[in-house]
Amino acid sequence: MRYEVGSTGPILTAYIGLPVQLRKLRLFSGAVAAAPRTVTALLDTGSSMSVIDIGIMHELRMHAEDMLTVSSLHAPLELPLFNLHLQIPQLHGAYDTEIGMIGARISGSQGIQCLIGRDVLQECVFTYDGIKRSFMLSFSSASS
Amino acid sequence: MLEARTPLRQELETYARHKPDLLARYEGKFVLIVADRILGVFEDRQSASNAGYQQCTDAPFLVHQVLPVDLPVDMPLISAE
Repeated sequence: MRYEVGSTGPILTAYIGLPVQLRKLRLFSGAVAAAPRTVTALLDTGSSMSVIDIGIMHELRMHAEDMLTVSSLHAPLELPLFNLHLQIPQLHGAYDTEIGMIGARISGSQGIQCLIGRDVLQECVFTYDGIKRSFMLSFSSASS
Repeated sequence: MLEARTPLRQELETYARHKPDLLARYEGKFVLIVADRILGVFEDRQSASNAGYQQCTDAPFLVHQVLPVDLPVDMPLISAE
């Protein structure tokens, strides 16, 4: 399936939510289990891992499960890692998985709330056509 | 030394204390830690997280891969909160 490249690059809509097991446990205990959030995601081949805006993690009342050292433009940073349920419904067959994502502010985000990094892209074929301002993304299987 | 505000500070200190033993027996695997207790060691991060939800539900816990050196992740577009 072919998608148009937006002004900020190859963009997709994704759903970010609680991991399935945590959502079930929160519901079972009567706690609030926030619904998944719809986010604007940039396909970012420069990131070795995917990133989610830290504000969305606060909205979902998620706890960090690890701290990772990140090499950014400015200096090494210690940033939290969250375990999340990621869905990309636009893709043929949809992409649906649980994945660790770094929680951070995304610089100059222009509405981008999520970076889809090489940890996800390694499972797919990503073709960028700058002449036609379009891109294609297909996964080897409908769901990981 | 980790700053007091660092999330999972106590768990990371517990990991640091036990790292030599963990490396000797479980290099490459994922350890689940709550406060000063090691709750288990798992083959992958997802299994460790699911065990953490079962045992802690909404309480914070650490899932960390047991490695000699924690390699930095490349991420040029982000900045600190």
